[in-house]
Amino acid sequence: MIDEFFLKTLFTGICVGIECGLIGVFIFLLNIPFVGVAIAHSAMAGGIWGFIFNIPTKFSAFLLSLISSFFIGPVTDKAKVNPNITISIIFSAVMGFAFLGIGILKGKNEMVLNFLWGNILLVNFLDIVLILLTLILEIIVIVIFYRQYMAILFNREIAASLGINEKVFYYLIFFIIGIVVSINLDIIGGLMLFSLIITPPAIAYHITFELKKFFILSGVFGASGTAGGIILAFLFNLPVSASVVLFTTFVFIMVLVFSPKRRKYGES
Amino acid sequence: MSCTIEIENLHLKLSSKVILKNINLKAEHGDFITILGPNGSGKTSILKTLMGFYKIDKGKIKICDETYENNNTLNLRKKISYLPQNYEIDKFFPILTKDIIELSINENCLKNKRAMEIINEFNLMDLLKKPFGLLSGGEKQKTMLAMILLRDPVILLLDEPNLNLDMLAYKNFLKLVEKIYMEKKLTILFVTHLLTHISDLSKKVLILKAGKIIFSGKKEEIFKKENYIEFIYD
Ligand SMILES: Nc1ncnc2c1ncn2[C@@H]1O[C@H](COP(=O)(O)OP(=O)(O)O)[C@@H](O)[C@H]1O
Ligand SMILES: [Mg+2]
Repeated sequence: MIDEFFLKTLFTGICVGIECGLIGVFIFLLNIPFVGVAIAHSAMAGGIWGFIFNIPTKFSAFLLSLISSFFIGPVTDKAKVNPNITISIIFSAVMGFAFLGIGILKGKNEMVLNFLWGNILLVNFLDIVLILLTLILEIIVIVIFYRQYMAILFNREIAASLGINEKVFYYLIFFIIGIVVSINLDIIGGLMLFSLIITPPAIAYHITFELKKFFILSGVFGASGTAGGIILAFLFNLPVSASVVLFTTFVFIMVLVFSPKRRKYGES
Repeated sequence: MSCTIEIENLHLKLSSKVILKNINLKAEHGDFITILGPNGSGKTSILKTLMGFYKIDKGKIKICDETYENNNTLNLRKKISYLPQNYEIDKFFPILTKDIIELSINENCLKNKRAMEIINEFNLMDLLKKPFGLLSGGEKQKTMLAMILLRDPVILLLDEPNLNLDMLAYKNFLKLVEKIYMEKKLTILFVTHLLTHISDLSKKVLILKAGKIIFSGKKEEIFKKENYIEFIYD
C-alpha cells in the first residue's frame, strides 16, 4: 500500500495538520471556534456568486473569504463587541448572500455544497504548493512576531501599553485564519478542517503551560491526527475525513482522561 | 529624565456618554499623586486617556512637554508604564511568570542583569517557572509590577493594584512601590477607591466623583472634613 498516491496524501495531510494546528492556537486562545465555519461559508457564498457571474469559483470563494476575515478585527473594535458577535454577524450575512445566489440559480443547488466538501485524495500539485506557501507564511509570522502575539493573546491592552501596535497584529490573525481556511477548505473539506483547527490546540491545552510548546504541540497533534487518520483510512479502506476526525477526537479523549496538567495541579 | 504630566480641561465622551468633565491635573517630576473615587467615577478612564487609548473630546494632555497628537501615541507610551485594573486570564492559559517578565525585556530574564536584580528584590525566583494564571493575586501584581518597571518608565500608572489583594499582600505590594518610588523618583499616579489605601508618600490626593474632580489636596485634609465618607462615596 505504500505507493506514491499514499505518500502524497500522507504528506499533504501532515502539512495541513501542522498548518491547522498552528492557526488553531490563536482560535483556541482567542476563544473564537466559530471563525472557521463563518469563513468557510463565506467561501461558499463567494463560490455561488462566482458561478453566477462566470468568474472562476475558486477565485471568488477565496476572495470573499479574505474579505470576510479582513473585516472581523476592525468591526469588532469599532462595534466594541466580542469577536464572536462579529463572526456571527458575518456568518449570517454571507449565508444571506449565499441564499440569495441560490435563489437566482434555481435548480442548480446540488453544486452549492461542493464548496464545503473537499477530498484530500484528489489533491493536485498546485494545491500542495498553496498549502506549503501558506504553511511557510504562518510559521514566519509566528516566529518573527512571537513576543508580540504572546502579549496580545495575554491581554490586548497590556500589549498596547508595551508599545506594540497591537491592532495591526490582531487584525492580521484573522486575515491569516482566512487564508488558511480558504486555501484548505476545498482541499480537505469543511469537516476535517474544523476538526483540525479546534481539536489539536484543545489537546495541547491539557499538556503544556508554555506558549512555545503549545504552538509546537498543536502542530504536532494536527500532523499526527491527519497522519494517523490517513493511515487507518488506507489500511481499512475508510473515508479519509471521517477517519482523521475520529482519530483526532480519540486522541483528545485520551489526553482528557489522563490530563497531565490537571493532575499536576491536583484538580479533578 | 525629568518628566511632567499636564492635563488641561479634559473632557471625555465614550459611546456618547460624558465620562470626564473638565479635568485638570498637574504632576511635577517625582510627584506621587493618588486618585480616589467611588466605582464608576472615571478613575480608570483618566489613566486610559493618559495611555492614549481614547480620543479626547476637548482639552489637552502633555507628557514630558510633548502634547498627545494622533501620531505620537506609541512613542509617548514608551515613557509610561501602566498596570491595568484587570488582566484576568484563564488559570490554565499557556503563559509562565517568566514569560510575563520577559514581555518587556525581549530576552531570557535569567541572562538579564536588571531583570535578575528585580526578580531577587521582589522574591520572584521561585515563581518564574510557574504558570502565571495559577499565581495568587499578590504574586500576580508583583510580577506585573516587575515587568512594567523593567521598561524603565518615568511615569507609573497604577490602577487599583489593591483590588484582589488581602491586607498583607497589599501592604507588601505598597512597600515595593514606595521603595521604587524613593529610589527612582518616578512620577506616580495611583488609583484606588479605598480611602484607607492611600500611601503616606502621596503628596496630593484628587477625589473624583461622577467624572469631576471635587477635591484636591493633602490626605490629612480629607479627614478634617465633616462626613468625609459621604463626601467621597455618596
Ligand atoms: N468604553 C466605554 N464606553 C462607555 N462607557 C464607559 C466605557 N468605559 C467606561 N465607561 C463608563 O465610564 C464611567 C467611568 O468608568 P471608569 O473610568 O472605569 O470608572 P472607575 O475606574 O472610577 O471605576 C462608568 O460609568 C463606566 O460605566
Ligand atoms: Mg476602575
